Amino acid sequence: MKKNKLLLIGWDAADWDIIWPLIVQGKMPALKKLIKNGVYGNMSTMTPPYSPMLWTSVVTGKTPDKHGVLGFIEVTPDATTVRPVTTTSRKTRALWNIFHNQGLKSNLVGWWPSFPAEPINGTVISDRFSKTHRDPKKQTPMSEFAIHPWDKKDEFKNLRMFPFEITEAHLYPFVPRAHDVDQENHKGLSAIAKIVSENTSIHNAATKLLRTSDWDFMAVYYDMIDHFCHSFMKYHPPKLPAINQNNYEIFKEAVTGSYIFQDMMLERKMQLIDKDTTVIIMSDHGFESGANRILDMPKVQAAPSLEHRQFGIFVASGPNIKKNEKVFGLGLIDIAPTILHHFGLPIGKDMDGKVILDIFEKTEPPKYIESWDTESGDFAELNNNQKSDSLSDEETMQQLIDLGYVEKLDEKYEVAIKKTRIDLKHNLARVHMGKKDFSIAKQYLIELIEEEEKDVDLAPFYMDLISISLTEKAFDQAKNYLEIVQSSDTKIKYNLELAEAQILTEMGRPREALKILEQDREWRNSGKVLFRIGKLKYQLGEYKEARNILELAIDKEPQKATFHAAIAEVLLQLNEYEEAAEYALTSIELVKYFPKAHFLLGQALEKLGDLENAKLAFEMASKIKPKEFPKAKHSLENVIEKMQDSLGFKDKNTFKYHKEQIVIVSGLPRSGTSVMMQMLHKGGIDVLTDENRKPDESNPKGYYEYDPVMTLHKNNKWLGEAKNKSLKVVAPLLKFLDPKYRYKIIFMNRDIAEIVKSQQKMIGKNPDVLPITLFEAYQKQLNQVDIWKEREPGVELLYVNYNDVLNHTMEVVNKVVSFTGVDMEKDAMIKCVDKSLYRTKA
Amino acid sequence: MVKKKVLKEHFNPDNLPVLGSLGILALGDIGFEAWRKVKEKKNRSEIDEKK
Repeated sequence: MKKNKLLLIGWDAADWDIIWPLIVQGKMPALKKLIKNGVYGNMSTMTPPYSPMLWTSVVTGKTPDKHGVLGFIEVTPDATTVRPVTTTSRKTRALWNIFHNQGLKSNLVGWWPSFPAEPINGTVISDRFSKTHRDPKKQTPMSEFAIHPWDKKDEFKNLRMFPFEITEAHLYPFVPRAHDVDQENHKGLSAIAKIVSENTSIHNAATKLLRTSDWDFMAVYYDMIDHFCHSFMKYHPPKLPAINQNNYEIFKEAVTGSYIFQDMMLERKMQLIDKDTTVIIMSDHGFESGANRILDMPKVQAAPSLEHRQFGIFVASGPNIKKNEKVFGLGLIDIAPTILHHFGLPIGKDMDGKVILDIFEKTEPPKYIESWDTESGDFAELNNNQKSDSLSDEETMQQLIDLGYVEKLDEKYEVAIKKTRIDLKHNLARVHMGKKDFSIAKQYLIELIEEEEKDVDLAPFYMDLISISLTEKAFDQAKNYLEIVQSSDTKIKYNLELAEAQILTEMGRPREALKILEQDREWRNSGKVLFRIGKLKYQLGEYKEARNILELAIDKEPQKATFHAAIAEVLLQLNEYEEAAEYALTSIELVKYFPKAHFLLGQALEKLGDLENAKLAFEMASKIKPKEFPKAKHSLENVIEKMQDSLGFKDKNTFKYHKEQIVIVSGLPRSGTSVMMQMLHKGGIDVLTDENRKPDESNPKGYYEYDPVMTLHKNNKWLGEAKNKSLKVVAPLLKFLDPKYRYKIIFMNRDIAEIVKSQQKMIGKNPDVLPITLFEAYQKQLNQVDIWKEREPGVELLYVNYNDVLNHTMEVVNKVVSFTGVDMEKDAMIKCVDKSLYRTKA
Repeated sequence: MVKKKVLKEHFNPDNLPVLGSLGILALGDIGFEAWRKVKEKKNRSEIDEKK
């Protein structure tokens, strides 16, 4: 008997939201036992969530741009037609190729795609083995490449079950009122017959191999849960308003039935393995089962995948696996490296995934090689003759069409080929979007648009370009793309209001965005719309309303970690720190590696005076994504400083020099910012200025300005130039400072009436006429700065009164020197102040 | 609703219901082949009766 065996079981679309209640009710005992004796967690899916590409990532550890499986169908090598995706699309070695090379034996059952079967050491029962004919009364012939080795065909061919063999005894457990189904108008029962028979064929082959063969690695894939969900999730409780009551009553147990049957099959497999075998059960994505269920499927490529949820399941159990622990941060691409590590084999450095070390009781550090693809030797890959053979399969193609993953093929093959090529290129672009390779994604999308193929709806490409533009902060471009979609004749019902609101928000026009969303809410009261409204209310400082709306959003979608984090952020502003901490913790419970939630938890705990735990939370937040979330690093530094301070709590202005800090002088125009810049300059701090704005009568000693500041809201990438220097930034632009740096902000205060008068004078207007609206706008800006500084851990702010600069100069200089933490020439600073320039008084 | 049964204790290849059950299918190849035999036996006996 072999030791160290590993059985990998794929349950397409399995979702914890359905599983946990069934476990509580005692209806999935086999899975419950595995969880109790092992580890479990969420499995994060990839973009786009199309199963063949996801399951290929599972066994290669690579993203689809590297492994080459990019959709449900592919163009044949001779470019004469299209067919369901095959192993020939895969351009990298899978686990079983590597095991073959290393003398290990693998069994593979139903993996998608695994046809044509590769000639590995072991047995391959490919995904085509189980496919049934669209006419339920017919048997499907078995293709030569469906099984390896082919001489085993007689052992397996009679294990295939066909839909015509399904009886009422098989149907009633899923549909207790099967006799009430109007089979002329509802194809539910024939769908169940097909799904159950095909999955039974897979299970039969798997149990036979488990009973009779010797193996090291075995992988079995079931599509039962996914196919039940696509057909019957709409009838799953709670009842959706648009669903017919009778159909709901008839089919409401179908989805849970598929999970229970899958668990029964699992129980059998567990009976057939020994205690030394490690078992992994996982899904490639989850499935929407709440208010977000889609009843009116849009006409887009692979539309049913829109029902897929981001998180699938992961369970592992075995002799060297931890017991009853939850594990976090798992991705599909981590499975292959983890399995290689289990067998003591090195991981290819070209793999995108990592070893999930957290699941093992004891383990060695992972070993690496450059790439398994460049290793020489026998990897049991298909030869060119097999690759060029016709592998078309009418039944599988028809099933993909029936499920809605593939459109009915155009009778003209050249049209089908063209559509497939476009879809695959679009998928590739989306894969790059998922990897944040935006420039490559953009290039593919623009190429697709420029190809100007007839009858091709370009809206999906523009929608992706909108997402990319928003990420890249190219808001004008996003708006242009949106206008193109708005004026197009696309038949796809996009939520363009949501896109428009997002663009307006990013462009700094939150009120307009809010107006659009409030109208949208009247007919689309979805969690997503409510969440966006709540975020906008928060942005506008309407915290109580933000809280109420976000609570409604959470009622609709309680599993959204971002929703819980958003409400925690609001509660911090309402000084409800304990509740904020609770929401942040819930958010972390849902997604452990969510830096913002840890950051918010840290903020709440810091306010509650629990500095030790606040430090842990900030540490976690800064570890997860240090580059993308620099605020956490600054908060961590702040809290450590507080802990080191023997006097205990002090406010943020603790006056410590921070390495590479940027000293910003800010305020409203004409509030004394130029004199403060001059003081810093003479005191010894370098100034970042281009001196493009020359001294004039209003400012005879110079403005100390830097032109790029004027477009800070569009581009703040240059801010690194200001490290260890001083820079002048007007108050409204402060919020565009890049949070990755540390800022010491000297904010000049001056009586607003004096400021406005001085400005009126400067632009040649009557200084005695005070525009009220301007007065109010300035007051609002000052309030916003006050709120903003509290949210930015990298910011320390010192208010300096302009009158104090003139009348208590020494005091101000001491304050400024202490605040910056820089040793400066105080006398030189004092000499900068020229009272004769104080000409405008209130 | 699909109900779980303790497969091992109830499985007797010579005494399976002709209509089958999910429990038998969950047993995998052994259950499936045994059930097919029961069906074939019944079919044969029906044909014999007609003769």
